Amino acid sequence: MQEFAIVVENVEKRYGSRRVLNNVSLRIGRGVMYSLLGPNGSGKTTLLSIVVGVLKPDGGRVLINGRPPDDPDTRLHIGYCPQEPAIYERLSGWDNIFFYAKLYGVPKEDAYRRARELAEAIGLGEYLKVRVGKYSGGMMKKLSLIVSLLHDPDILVLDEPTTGLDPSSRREVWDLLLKLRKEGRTVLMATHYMDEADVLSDTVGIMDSGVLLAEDHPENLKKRYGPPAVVAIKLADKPMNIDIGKAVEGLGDRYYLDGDTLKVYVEDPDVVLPKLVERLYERGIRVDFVKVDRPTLEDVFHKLTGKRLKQE
Amino acid sequence: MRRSVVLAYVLKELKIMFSDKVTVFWLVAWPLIWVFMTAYVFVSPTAQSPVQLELGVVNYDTTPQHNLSFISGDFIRILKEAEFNGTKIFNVRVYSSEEKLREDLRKGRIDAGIVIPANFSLSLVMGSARLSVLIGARDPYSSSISYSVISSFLNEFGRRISLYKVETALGYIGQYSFANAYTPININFTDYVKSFMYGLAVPINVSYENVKPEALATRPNTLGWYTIGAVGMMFLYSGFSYGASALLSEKERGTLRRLRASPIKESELVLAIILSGIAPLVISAVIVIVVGVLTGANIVFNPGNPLHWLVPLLILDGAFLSIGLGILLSLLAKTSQGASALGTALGLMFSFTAGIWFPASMMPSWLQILSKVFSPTWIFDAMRAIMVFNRGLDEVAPTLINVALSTVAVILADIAVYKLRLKKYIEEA
Ligand SMILES: Nc1ncnc2c1ncn2[C@@H]1O[C@H](COP(=O)(O)OP(=O)(O)OP(=O)(O)O)[C@@H](O)[C@H]1O
Ligand SMILES: [Mg+2]
Repeated sequence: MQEFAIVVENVEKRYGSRRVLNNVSLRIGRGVMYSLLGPNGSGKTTLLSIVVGVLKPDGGRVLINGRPPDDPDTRLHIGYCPQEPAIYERLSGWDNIFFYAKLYGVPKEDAYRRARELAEAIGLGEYLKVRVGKYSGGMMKKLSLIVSLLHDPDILVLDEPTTGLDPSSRREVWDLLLKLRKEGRTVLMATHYMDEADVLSDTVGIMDSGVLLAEDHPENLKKRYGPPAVVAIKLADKPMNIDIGKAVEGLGDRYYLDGDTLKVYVEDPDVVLPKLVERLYERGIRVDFVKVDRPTLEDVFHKLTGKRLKQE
Repeated sequence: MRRSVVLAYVLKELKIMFSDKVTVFWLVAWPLIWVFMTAYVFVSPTAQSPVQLELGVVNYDTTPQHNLSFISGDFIRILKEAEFNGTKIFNVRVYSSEEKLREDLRKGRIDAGIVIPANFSLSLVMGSARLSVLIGARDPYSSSISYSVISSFLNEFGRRISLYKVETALGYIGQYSFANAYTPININFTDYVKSFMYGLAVPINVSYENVKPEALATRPNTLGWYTIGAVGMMFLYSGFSYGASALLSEKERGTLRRLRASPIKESELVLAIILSGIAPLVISAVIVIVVGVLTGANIVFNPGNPLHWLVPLLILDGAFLSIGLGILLSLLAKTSQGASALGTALGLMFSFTAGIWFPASMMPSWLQILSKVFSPTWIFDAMRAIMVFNRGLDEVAPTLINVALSTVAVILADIAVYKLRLKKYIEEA
């Protein structure tokens, strides 16, 4: 038994002269849930494609259970769910399931039983008879996830498994992923939802522009890169930026506007908060309410890149 | 190579194809339409019986006719009774005046008219008679057909009248004796005059015969030729369009990614894609040939003749070659829709110009070269030679060698193209 389920060593990928992955290395232990968090175009899909052996890297290498990913035996251990639902719209849910099961040599009865269980868990049960062409985007995503788990893989590589799902379906998928991890499976997942990465992962890797900037347990990341606290002030009117800059001066490390909420990174909220509200009033900016937040992965990302994760 | 994996892929593809009405239309309905068109329109069952002309006749001949040996009434009766292969040549309508006849000709109600002048019977018996024939022109073909039908009828009629007159004259001559009259060869003078006068009436006895190549002469053979042609046409456009678009549509659906991450090997995938294309073509070919035979095509499969067992192979290879050439076309396409449209268009074009639907002999000579170098044509010609024209091995053997060589060439080219395409599509997907 190898210590690490997934090893990525110095992987490089270029499209023409563009570097899409820049010397990326990571090691994922057995039974670990690892999330790659990064904005659109940061290289998550490219990295996952290389991990599952669909794409060849221009440099570096990948080992799955100590073997190259394009080895047919290795492939039996990997459950890959691509970002776009890779299913046939002209076939029913069941036809898709039985086709893919056959590719992995899964007997029909086993595929049937397993698909039933999974569909129950994420709420697709009665739709499997229906032609996929009639599914909503979320339903396709769920079927796609079911299909990638049919052969009971011990390593899951999931590219944005909850994008496009409604909040309750997201919960159901989260529960399923937590259950799969509890069963001892290794999960490598790409996401641009920081809450998802935060709630689910043992390790979060933060990616931007093809570089893996940091990786650790989400709490450690927040401790290391996040401020002690974030003061969130909901403003009554949309203010002018210049005024805010002056108001915040000397009180916080950084600030940014999230819609009509002003967020300021501070060391000591008890001291800073009253002064900050006062300064805003002096400038004629009215405040609706104020709260003190713990830092999030969003804040970690902002600290690392100076950019904000794009939320949908 | 795991058979169950390949089979699963083929079944999946067939389900997808047959769930699409448009695909089924092109695969089955379109070639059948052409089989039916050939059987009932182009080579219709009645095509070999002669045309029947609508013929108007006016008779101005009022000579008392009781003491004449031939009268205009007889002429009209002969017109009405004249037959060719059991079908009446003319449908005769009698008019009371030339004006009315001309009126109907102009309105296109009849194809031609004959005006019998006064004293026709008398002139005919006494010497030479006049007859005017009016030809209508409903369309460019009908006038020339009417002209040739009527003129050949009147030629024959004139010849018979001449013979009849000769007989009459000989009857008179027989009553005299010309014992010492001069003859150029040593025969009896009466016999000499007799054959001389026959010669006046019928100087040349021409017999006409249409000689067509044995192959196409009969309707069943013609239908057989075109039924195989319909199969060939369907193979070309379906095979081209499937071959060009199959991998692209996996890419566009995003399923290529999942396939490449699955344990299916590259070679298994390529084989599965090709077999998925061959299967529906073969199914459709069998349907089209059976329907062709039911409409009267002469297509024989004789299990006792080993040569006939080449036919299933030829069908398989024809399907493969069409798909294989389609795969080469994928180099020119960016989207599956574009690939499919390009394949269909080129497939139809080749079937019309390379001797697959239209016989190559109908093409201008510079274009006939195409049918000589286009390998699918060899296959369909070999199928025709064996099943329609019952040819022997010696006649098809050279073709078979060429077919085998070109199949190998296409396989090699396809492997190269698929390696390139798979890599490119995965990067783009
Ligand atoms: N075939 C290709 N040719 C050229 N550039 C490509 C190709 N595929 C991806 N890229 C580029 O590589 C970069 C990384 O893309 P990738 O899809 O891996 O990002 P991602 O993190 O998965 O983004 P998203 O969150 O939108 O899915 C992007 O800038 C993209 O434009
Ligand atoms: Mg992506």
